[in-house]
Amino acid sequence: MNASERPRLGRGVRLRREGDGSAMLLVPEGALMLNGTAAATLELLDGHRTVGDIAGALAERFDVDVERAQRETGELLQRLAERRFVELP
Amino acid sequence: MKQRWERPDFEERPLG
Repeated sequence: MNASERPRLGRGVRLRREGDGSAMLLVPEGALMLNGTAAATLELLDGHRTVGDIAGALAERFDVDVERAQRETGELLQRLAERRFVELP
Repeated sequence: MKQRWERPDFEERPLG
């Protein structure tokens, strides 16, 4: 996924974060249980931030460099976009 | 103190 893409959650898709730190993505077909970094990534999707912006924010919060954060979040978003859970306006 | 990074991933659950 290109670093300049500005992803957002798809129609009918909601991120649900619980007090115990767990998170799930509610989609029409069911739910996706997210690990911590996937949840942190999806919380940043607003249709304005680029994938590069998101990777930079994650690199500040987690012990990961921007290059790896961008590659791995890009892979996650690509998987979700293929199923229309994430949109690329 | 930064949090530990792991590859972002998910596990699908049907609406059951």
